Amino acid sequence: MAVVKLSELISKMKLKNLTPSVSVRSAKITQADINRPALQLTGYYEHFDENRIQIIGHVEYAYMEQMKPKEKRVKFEQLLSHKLPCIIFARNLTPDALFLEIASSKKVPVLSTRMATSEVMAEIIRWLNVKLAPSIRVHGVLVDVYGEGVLITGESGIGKSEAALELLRRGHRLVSDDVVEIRKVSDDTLIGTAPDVTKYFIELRGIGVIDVKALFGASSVRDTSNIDLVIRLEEWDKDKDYDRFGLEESKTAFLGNEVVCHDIPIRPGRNLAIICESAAVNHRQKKMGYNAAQELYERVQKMMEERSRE
Amino acid sequence: MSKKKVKIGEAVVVDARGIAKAVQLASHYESALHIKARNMSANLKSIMGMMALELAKGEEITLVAEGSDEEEALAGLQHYFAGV
Repeated sequence: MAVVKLSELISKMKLKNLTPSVSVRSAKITQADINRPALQLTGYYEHFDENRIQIIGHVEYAYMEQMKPKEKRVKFEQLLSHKLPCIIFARNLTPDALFLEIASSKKVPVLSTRMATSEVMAEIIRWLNVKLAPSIRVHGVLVDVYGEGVLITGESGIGKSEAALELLRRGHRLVSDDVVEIRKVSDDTLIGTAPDVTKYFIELRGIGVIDVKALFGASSVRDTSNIDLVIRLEEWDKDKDYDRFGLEESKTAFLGNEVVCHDIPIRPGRNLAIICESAAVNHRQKKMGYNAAQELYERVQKMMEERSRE
Repeated sequence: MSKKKVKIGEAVVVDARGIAKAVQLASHYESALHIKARNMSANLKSIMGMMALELAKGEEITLVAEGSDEEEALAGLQHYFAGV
């Protein structure tokens, strides 16, 4: 299961650590959800999810402020005795000295932000959803072609990297060569990145490794891209039926999400880059509401009807 | 399909050059070759994939081969990674 270090969250969200004595180095977050512990402060702990980040906003703060000192100690002890990943005070609210004291002794990190409560919640959930998304590594090349993320797959040595290089030279952008880390950020979105070690590098047989960003500039690379389309390269198989019309789309799945997939047969003389480009722009046009295969189908239908009426 | 577990030998060089050698060795075989380490998997014939795996000495890996010369490939690669 994916985890995020608390220290990463602190630096990303620019949080202020109010309990410096509590070590955050080994603390980890495993859930992208958030809890506002208002009900827990009243003493109701049924269904309490202690693995979640706890956020204290104006309501919880005002409620804590009006408690009597004796009640404060009981309620704070009760809340902070759970193994909470951290507690965040929004709007720069300053926690009670007693709260910080108990949190320090129970080793619960208390953080603060100047962001408004709903803003910090939305930001954290959005960021954690990406970070904690299920992920896999696939063998392939990811290129951003006209804004469409095209994942080119196929056996080693079939020409994926060469196709990517040609696409770069035509002004498209490389995300990753050979290894793509795919994350499922929602039920219809997959995003791909390169592993840090191999970022911006392409391997070309016979030449070796080249640094695309250094050679062709920052405009030739991208750090992450959605995966909108898969192009599967394979040796031409004369017994296999390749799509000639394009009315039905075949799909392939990663992490349970389906992506449109084209099987492209390789034969000497086929310009792969231009095929990838056309596939990408055609996919884009379909998303914008025009389907060339459908249009052709309708034209033929219409002609047939006219003929039968004559 | 055949599999083999190997512990990477202490004397094996697993820096970029060492990995490149392993990839070169793997490319001599016909079979499809994969390596599994720490819940991740990579194509043994892919330089980038192997680099991104960040292998370390003493680590336990699983070699997976599928094809006409899988036994031969596994033996050769086991020999390479075990360093004997």
